[in-house]
Amino acid sequence: MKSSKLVKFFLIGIMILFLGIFVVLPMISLLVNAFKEGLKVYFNAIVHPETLHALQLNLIVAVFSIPLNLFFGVVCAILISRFEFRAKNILLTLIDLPFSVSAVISGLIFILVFGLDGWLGKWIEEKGFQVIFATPGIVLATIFVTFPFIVREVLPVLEASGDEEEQAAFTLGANSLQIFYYITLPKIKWGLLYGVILSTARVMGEYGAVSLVSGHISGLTDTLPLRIDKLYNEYQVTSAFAVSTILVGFAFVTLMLKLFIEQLKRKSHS
Amino acid sequence: MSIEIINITKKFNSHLALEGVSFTVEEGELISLLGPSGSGKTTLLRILAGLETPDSGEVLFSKQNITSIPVMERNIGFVFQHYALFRHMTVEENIGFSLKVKGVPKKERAKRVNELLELVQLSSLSKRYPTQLSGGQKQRVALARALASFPKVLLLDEPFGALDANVRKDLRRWLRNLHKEIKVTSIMVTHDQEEAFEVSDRVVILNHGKLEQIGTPDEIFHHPASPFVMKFLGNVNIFHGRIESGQAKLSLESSSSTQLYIRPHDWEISLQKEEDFIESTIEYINAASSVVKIDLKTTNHQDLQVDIPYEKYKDMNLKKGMVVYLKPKEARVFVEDYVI
Amino acid sequence: MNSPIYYSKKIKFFIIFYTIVYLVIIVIIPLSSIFFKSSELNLEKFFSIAFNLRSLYAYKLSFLSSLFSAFINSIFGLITAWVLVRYDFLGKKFFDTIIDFPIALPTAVAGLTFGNLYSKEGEMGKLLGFQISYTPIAVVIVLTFVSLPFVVRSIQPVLEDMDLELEQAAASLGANPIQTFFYVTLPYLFPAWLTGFILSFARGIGEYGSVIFVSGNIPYFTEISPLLVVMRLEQFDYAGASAIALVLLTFSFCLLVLLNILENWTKIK
Repeated sequence: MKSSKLVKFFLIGIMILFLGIFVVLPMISLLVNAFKEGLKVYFNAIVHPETLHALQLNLIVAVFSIPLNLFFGVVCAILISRFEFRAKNILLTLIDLPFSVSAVISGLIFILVFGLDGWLGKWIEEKGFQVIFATPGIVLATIFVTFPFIVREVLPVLEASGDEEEQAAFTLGANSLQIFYYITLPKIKWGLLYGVILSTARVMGEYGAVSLVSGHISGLTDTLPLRIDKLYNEYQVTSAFAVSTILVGFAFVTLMLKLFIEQLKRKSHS
Repeated sequence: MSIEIINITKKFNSHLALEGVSFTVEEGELISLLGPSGSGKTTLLRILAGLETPDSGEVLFSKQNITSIPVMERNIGFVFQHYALFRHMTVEENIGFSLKVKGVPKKERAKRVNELLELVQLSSLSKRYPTQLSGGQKQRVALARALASFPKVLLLDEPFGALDANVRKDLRRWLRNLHKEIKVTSIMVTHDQEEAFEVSDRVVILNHGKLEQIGTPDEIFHHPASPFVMKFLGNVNIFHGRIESGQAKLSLESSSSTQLYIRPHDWEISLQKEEDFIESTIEYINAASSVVKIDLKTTNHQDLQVDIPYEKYKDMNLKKGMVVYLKPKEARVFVEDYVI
Repeated sequence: MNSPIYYSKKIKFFIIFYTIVYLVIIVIIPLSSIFFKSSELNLEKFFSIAFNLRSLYAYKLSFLSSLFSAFINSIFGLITAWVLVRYDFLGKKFFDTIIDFPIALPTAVAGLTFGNLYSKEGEMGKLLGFQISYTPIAVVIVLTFVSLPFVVRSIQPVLEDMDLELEQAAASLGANPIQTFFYVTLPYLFPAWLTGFILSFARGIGEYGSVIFVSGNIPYFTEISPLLVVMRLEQFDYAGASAIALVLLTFSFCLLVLLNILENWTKIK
């Protein structure tokens, strides 16, 4: 049995080394670089009006895209888990598409449709709106990139639990909306919560698609990741790192929330 | 190979699973470990296999102490309740697994596998995968797999627990015949008394980690060593009373010191009041069998179960609500041992 | 079509209708624009843009670097999942949590950090003595970070759910720990492992934000395919951008179909 203890030690060591080099080290490096030029520079970068505006833009996008995806996610998950139809595989593939498609393509397609030279471009211009190079475009691209999250978190829960409870509620006289609110919703609440957290993290951090669609106009259509990019290109590297810490903090909160939810979930199950 | 179990004790955290269990299994015997859930029978089986280690005590295989020998060197065959078949291997590959890991050459392996397939009557399914088999078929594969490298001991953990009732009955019979042919020392864990009695040479009854009794099915049923054994092995009515010159006399007051244990089929039933008979009212009759089961209530509200042959029931024309009189034909008393 | 009886006709209709409309507007129409736009080019022009030497080098870089990073993640991801599920040690929870970091972190930040770390002045650059940034190696490293969670998180639940009795059965049949691992455990984990590999690979091919910070974007050397799309866009060559995007999209789609087949295959087993 001594050899198994050696093996265990060895494997744990490899894992720690691997994660240390690829995850821990970069994180430390980021923090060190953010504060390299001292606290003053750090704070200036954070409270800079363009940074704050970028943050605000991120939040606006989140406020619009997340509820829409939330609603769709639930509806779609119900469709897939409770309905029988042949095109289900196609539907599932469609939902996984944003995950496997490059972020750049995600941005390109919306430019092609909503851009000035795009299909709806002229029509939008006539109506006095602007989609590409403006907030609505960012919202659309973000919706595309994040809509799978909620579906993928809620679907397994619905499929695993079956619909006997819903049928029972039906026999007891509940209507569709009541069944959803009293029976289905409580079942999926953890999956929903987790899906929302993941989407939010993605909304804040999406770079590729948004950079295409927003046109990168400082102070107007820069989200936080784009702001970081801009700072870097202007050789304000330390400030770029400083603003990055906002997003790192956000990522950290996301992970803590995930842990927290898992604890709550475990408690409510026992 | 004979097995000696000497004073085995095992604790899981604060739960005492086995306490000082000792008994011997003769070569070629098939014995059952019988008991309610939590009695420690599966733990004991796994200790014999080497999948658990006892806190104290020893296990001897043919007089050799194997307590500290790891499972893969014990040359045992283990059949799991949920089969534990390797899903990515065919039936053939599953059965031949123990030979493969021992380095037996392909030709020999194939020969032995075919022997076993014939033994368990699954030759036509050799290339199938476990998911394509029924429960009964899966269990037979599991058995064949365990027997492949001629184990000295066969250990079965509730082998028929996950199967339908009639499949279970068939497989029980089949196992008994198989054991007659192969004669490998076997130990089976079950909570089903009927199963243990039908299949085994001897039965070990465990309760809360302690050995209650060991003996042939006949011995145990007719001469239970303790109230637990008697209750576990079938319905029993418990009354207060005393033994007077070899006769059991019931009393309906609970002030009497002795407890009498009476089986439902050991009652005499009469329509007239006679001496030493107690009065009861019939509450429910289940006549859908050759043995009629009657539920009664005595005058001091004690529940009573009586089994009588169908003819007797017809003759006496018993009906719900009738008042009848009962006297025990045979009763058991358990006397505690006094230590002087 | 079979639908639940406990939903009213109106609700059922709404569910179906809403899903279809949403997907059409958000997914189908936008994606189809790529097909239509690239069809504006005649076949010759299409090939000259999508498959010229520069593009081919870009595809090669994306493909190979993703493959390498997926391999690295496969090996270390398997070890990591194994360690986290089978062993207990101080700090386990910490390591389990940080595995999700690459998904929670924006790609641009990852790119920025790795670009700096592995440059000449960066800590790793100094440690190793030569510059890694602006080489394909840097691309592999940052892609390993970005797709790190996929293999681990694919294997973990399967390993957790695995019935220990299978390994005990192998032991009872005489197999030593190594034999048990190779004959029983590994085959059991294989589908999940492969799924993780493919997910990791797919992520790497499409990755943009993190890579452009570390690769230096040198044509024919460290230029990745998504960047070519962006360049065409900046020149307002929408059709050209669509052509290259079409190639990438086709590839992503094939991977997706492969994943789907894998999932069905495991369900049958």
